[in-house]
Amino acid sequence: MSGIVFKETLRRNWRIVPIYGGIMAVLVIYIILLLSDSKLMEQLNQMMGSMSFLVTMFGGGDAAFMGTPAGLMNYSFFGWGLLMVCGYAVAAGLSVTANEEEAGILDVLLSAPLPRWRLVVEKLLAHSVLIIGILFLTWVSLLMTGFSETLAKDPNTSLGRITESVINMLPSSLLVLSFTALMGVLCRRRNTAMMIGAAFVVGSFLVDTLGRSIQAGDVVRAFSYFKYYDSANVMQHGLVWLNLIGLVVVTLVLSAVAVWRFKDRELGV
Amino acid sequence: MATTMNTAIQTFQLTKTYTPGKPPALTSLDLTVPCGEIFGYLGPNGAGKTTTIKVLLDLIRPSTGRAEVLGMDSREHSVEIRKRIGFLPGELNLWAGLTAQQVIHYMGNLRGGVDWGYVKTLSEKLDFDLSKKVRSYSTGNKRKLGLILALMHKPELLILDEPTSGLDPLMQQIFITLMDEARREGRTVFLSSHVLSEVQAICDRVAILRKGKLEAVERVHDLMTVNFNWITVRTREPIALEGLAHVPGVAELTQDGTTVRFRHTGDFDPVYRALASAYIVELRTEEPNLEEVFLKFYGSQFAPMRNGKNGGSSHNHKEAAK
Repeated sequence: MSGIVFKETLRRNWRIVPIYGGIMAVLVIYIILLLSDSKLMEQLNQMMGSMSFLVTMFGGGDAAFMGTPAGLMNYSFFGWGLLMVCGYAVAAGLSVTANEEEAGILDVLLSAPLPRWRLVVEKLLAHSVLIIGILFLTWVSLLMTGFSETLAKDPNTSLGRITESVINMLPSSLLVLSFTALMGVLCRRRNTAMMIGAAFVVGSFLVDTLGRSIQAGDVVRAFSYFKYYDSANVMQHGLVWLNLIGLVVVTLVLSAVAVWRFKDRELGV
Repeated sequence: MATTMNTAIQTFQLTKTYTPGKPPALTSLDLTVPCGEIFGYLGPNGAGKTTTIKVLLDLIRPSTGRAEVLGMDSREHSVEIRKRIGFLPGELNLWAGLTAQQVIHYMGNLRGGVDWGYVKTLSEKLDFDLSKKVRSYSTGNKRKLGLILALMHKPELLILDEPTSGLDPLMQQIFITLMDEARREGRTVFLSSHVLSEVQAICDRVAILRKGKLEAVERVHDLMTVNFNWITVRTREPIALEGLAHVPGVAELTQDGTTVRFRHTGDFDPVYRALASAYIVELRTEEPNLEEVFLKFYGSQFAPMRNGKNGGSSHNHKEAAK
């Protein structure tokens, strides 16, 4: 029966959406409080001016932008926020096959007339929906920024830009989901897949961050999905469709390889 | 060569090697299980029973050879096959955080066509509480849940890997009743076990697997006609064994006080005459169990099965079967 695994995955994991949504809301409230403190903002501006090297590394843009409310929001919310959502994407990727395979449950599950490809596809789709749910609640939380006068004055924090920035988080999260799912299929061991998935996220972040600080860094950064996430640019200029499509294509390729490998390999060996 | 519709399982020179260079888990297995039969698949741990089952379910792939289930190739038509079979793995693992009811609903929805009334009947027969979480069940209760999952859609073919391990003697009897029910309804059961008494009580035919090779396939009934019995004689006074020891067909003679026990083949009259001078309080005859029959049939090559890891369990079942 089609859709059973999809529905069951949603039924078992839906709680993660309000939990993550709540965490995101707390983060938004923190930023609003931070921005409402004019003294702190002034100090921050000065600091940005004197630490342009770090600003380039972590802020993802120029010091002038980093000193703005939108720049601060980009650094403290969209940078770390993506890491948090990717943390869930790693856990979700493991639950596509690795968790059940290591627990020895796949024998029973696949004794039902369930094609292997459908198991992987339905789980990937269900976790994608959950990630969309998390991002939707993130977007809802971000509506609270309307209560912040400082943010309201910044043209880069319009509802449209915020919406685009949230949408921009989706392809990267899905990429991590499919990458970890593929690792689970290839490695069979949950912990190995988890370590590779986490290393992929942290490694990409570090490669992107450190790559900004060196001249030839752009070549290395090409291997990091954070380069294509480029939240500072999206916050200032809107979505970069080429990056978005590129990430989606890579996600689809990784998912297809995961399906193909899982379909063709032995289980529980 | 294709399996006819009268054949539930057929393997053709099935070989499975997990690690190149190491001995294969299965070697050129040619096995045929007709429809409607309860077929015992016996062997010590590591003989290749679970490997065979995993190939049939398309969880693993043969190195060479192939298998057909219900007339279909196990690889090409695996989904079609799984619609029509019920499976109980040897080591049953399920989602610990779900209740039995949730697990049954999930698996039932995946299968489709489950008679929920029959699920209720099964849980009542097995005296099984569906409302608890899987993690809180004992091994025996998990086994019951596994049996419900395997039986709930009334499959044409049941593939059961060590089905009674962990079940108490009462539940083992209920399991035998369920298998009888399956037999009456014309369903096929392929049951792997290392417990001879279990297959003796349930099966029509048995196959013996050892080190990945099929050693023998016999009808349980034929095996049980092996012409020997165990005789236990209790006398009022201890008797001298010399007379009995020389009776043709008497073997494995032991004495414990006033009780004498021996294996006997052939006519009983010489035994009767050898005991004529004794006052017999009690005389009992027992048919040999399957293990003993196989030992007689195949001699020392059958010995590893008895000496396997689970030899103790086998003995317990033997006692229960008596």
